[in-house]
Amino acid sequence: MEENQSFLDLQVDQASSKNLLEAARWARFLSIIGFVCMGLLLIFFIAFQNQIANAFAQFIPGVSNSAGFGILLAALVITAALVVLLMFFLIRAATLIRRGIETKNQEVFNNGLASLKAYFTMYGILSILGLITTLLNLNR
Amino acid sequence: MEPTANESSIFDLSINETAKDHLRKTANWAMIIVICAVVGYVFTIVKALQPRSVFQEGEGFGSSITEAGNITGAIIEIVIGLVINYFLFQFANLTRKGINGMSQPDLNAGFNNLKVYFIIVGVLVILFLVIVVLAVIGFSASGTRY
Repeated sequence: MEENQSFLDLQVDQASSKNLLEAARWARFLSIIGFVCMGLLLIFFIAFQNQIANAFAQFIPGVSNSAGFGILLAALVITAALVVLLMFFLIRAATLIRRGIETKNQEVFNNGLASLKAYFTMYGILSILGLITTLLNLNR
Repeated sequence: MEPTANESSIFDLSINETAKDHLRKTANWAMIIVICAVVGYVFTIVKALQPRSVFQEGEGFGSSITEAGNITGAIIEIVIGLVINYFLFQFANLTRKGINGMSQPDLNAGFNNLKVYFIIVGVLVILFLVIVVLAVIGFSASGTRY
C-alpha cells in the first residue's frame, strides 16, 4: 500500500516533471527503435537464411549448413528475447512515468520507477556478463 | 504570480519511501553499469594496443593502416562511451545524494542528467540508423551499376 505524502518528502516539482517527461519521451523512442530493429533483424535472417547458413559453415569448418543455421537461430532468438525484454521494461517505465506525472497518480508513477529499476537492473546484469566475456576473450 | 521551477505544491507527486527505494536501486545499478563500461574501455585500450595476430602482422603499409584504424576506432568508441557514461554517473551520483540528503536541487539535477543521457543515446541511435540506411542505399546502388 502506498504511504501518505509528507510535507517533508522530496517532490516531483515542475523541474523534475519536465526532465522526467523529456527523458520518458526519449526512452520511449529508444525502445520503439529497439523493437523495430529486432523485428528487422528477424526478417533479414529469415529472408537470407540460406546465404547466412552457407557463410557460417564456411567460417567454421566442420559445421554443416543446417547445424550452422540452428546455432545462429538459437543465438538470434536469445539475443532478440533479451533485447525485447529490456525494451519492454524501458517502454513501460516511460509510459507509466509520463502517465503518473500527467495524472498526478503516485501509484502509477512508482510503478514507472519500478520498471526503470528493472530496466537498469537487467542492463547492469548484461553489462557484468559482457565484461566477464571480454575478460575471458582478452587472451585469445 | 507564476510559480518558479523549484516551487512545489501539495498537489505534486512526492518521492515517497517506495519511490526512494526504486530510485536508490536504479542509481546503484546505473553506477554498476558505469563501472563495467569504464573497466571495459580499459580492456579495449589494452586489446587495441596488443600486437596483432600472425596473419595481420607483417611489414608494409597495410598493417600499419590496420593498426592505426584499430586504435582510432577504439579511441572514438571510448570517447563516445565516456560521454554517455558521464551523464549516467551524474544521474546515479546526484540522485543518490538527493535522496540521502533530502536535497531537491540534487534530485532535479539527477533527473536532468538522466534526460541528457537518454537524449545522447537517442541522437547516437539516429546517427547510426542514418549511416546504416546510407550504406544500404550505397550498396544497392553499386550493385545495380555493375
